[in-house]
Amino acid sequence: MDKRYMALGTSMLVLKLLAQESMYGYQIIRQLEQQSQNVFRLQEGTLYPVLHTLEHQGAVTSFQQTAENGRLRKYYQITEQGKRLLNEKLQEWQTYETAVNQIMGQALPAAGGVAFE
Amino acid sequence: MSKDLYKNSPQAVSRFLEDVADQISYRPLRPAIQAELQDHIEDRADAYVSQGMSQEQARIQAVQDMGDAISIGTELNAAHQLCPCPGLLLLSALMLGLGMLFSGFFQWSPEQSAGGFLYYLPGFLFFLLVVWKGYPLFVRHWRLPLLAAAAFLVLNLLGRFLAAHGLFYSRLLNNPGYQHFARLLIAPVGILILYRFRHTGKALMTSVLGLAGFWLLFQMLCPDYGMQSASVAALLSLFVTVCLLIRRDCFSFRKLRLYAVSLAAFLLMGSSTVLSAPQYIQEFLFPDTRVHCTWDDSYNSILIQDLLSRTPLLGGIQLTQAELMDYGTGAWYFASRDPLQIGISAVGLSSEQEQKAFEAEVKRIREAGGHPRYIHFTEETVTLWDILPQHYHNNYVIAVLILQYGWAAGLALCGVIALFYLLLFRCIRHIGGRLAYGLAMVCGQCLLWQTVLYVLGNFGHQYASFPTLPLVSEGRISLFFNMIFLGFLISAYRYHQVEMEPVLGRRAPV
Repeated sequence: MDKRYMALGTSMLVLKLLAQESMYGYQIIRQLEQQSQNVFRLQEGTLYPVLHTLEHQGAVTSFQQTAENGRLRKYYQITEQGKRLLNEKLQEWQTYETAVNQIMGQALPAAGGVAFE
Repeated sequence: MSKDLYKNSPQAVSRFLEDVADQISYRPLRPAIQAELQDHIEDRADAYVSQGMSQEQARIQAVQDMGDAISIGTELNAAHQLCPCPGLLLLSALMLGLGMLFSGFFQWSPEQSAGGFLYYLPGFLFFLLVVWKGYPLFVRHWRLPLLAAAAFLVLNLLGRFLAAHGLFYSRLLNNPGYQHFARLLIAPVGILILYRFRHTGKALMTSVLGLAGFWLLFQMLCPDYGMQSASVAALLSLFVTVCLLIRRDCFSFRKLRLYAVSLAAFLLMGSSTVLSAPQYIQEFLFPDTRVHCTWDDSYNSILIQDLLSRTPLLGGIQLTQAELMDYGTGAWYFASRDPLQIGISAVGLSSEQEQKAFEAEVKRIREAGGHPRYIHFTEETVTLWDILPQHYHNNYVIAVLILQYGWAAGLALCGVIALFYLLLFRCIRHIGGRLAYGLAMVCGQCLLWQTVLYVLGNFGHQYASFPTLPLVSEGRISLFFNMIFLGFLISAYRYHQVEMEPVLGRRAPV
């Protein structure tokens, strides 16, 4: 997939997950795996540049909380600006998806033996 | 770098973290990033251990799951870059240069000029120091500047209170420059306190009430004419910044309720400020209704308005010697209203007889209720410079520039000032972190409102005492304090992508 759409996809998925609840990095990765039934298995470290960029954009904000095991965790929380950004990304993704579907929709019958005009 | 490098290595985690950190160019950021990644690896390793893997295998596998350390570090480095703002720095230097030039141009004496000059160079160096170290130091030791600012405010309040009641007088604490900036300082201190309690309802409400109470106390104990414009600037800065922070979801409560509370607090604090001295509003809106003598600020306002209306776009105002004399003595205004207020000639009082006649005239005017102004020029010697309200140092930089060189010159200066604020707020808008944004915004607002009041005063609408035109006019204590505001603002912008914000009120980042 085009790198731009990979990046768009990752940040969109992260924002979508954070819209459900505030999470820390590892929790986001786990949720991505669980909710996609292991289809989305990122190289886990690549999540952090995405999260930090979203934080600089004001789309997410962070806070720290101590976990039950005593580990200090950095949680990310979506902001109103992040929710707006998520909607924009969803629209962008839908445009991309529609374009892909249109092309695939034309191409698939061809594979079935219909002659190209 | 290949993942194989971490394979079978007992130091897999630390080597991975070091490789990531090596790519981060801003060194102070490295520990926080390493701590976050380490937590992640440990969480993943714990999960593998619970699935039956050995501790060592789990850690190696967790590191391998992270991906390539070099590319992660490189991407993190790209997300954390210093943000330079050369345009704003250059414009700040230009405005300081203009201030230095005007300082020599508008002072009474060469000694004063020299005194003014002395503040500009160290002022600029101080500014660069704050830009360079201000925000990073604040992030690491935020309690110290907050406590220092709060102590400065309380000391000022105490100093004014004791002086007002004749109990103790300290020149330092009652210095108008310090007093002016003590008022302005309430805005950034207030923002930091509100930020500190942004997630706890009761504490936030208590802070709002405490802030309003402290403000009312300040107004009640130190109802000082000289501080009125600083109070208005501080209040507007505080209110606007709080509203913008609410808009950015800084506080964990319903926005509508927060706006309502902010507005109520603003109206409470504002009414105590403005209504305690309603005459300033009248002077500001209708200066002609408040003119009693040529010493009034309102007189300067109407003089400026009248002269500006006669000034062309290019080239200064053209007046005959008789007109200059009329303006110089105040006769143009008072001849038909109150001739007692017209200035009297103090030229050529060489003999004892002339001196006695002069003193007798002064006495007569005083007894009749006039406020004599001594005129040290004649119709032959008077110049435009003699009639301008320059006796308040450089309060009228813009107006004097227009009168001397035409509207184009004054508007050019206003253009430079407008460009400065345009760049300044464009930088602030790009700051993502809420603390950095709040700090930069409140500092920018403090500068802006001083400028707005100053510019209005230069067009004949002065509110209470004159504030300074940041970086340009009154280059002494004000210069240093405004350098702190501007320096912090630029510093917050410069470091907002590389400095982890302190979690005020909770544990600091690892």
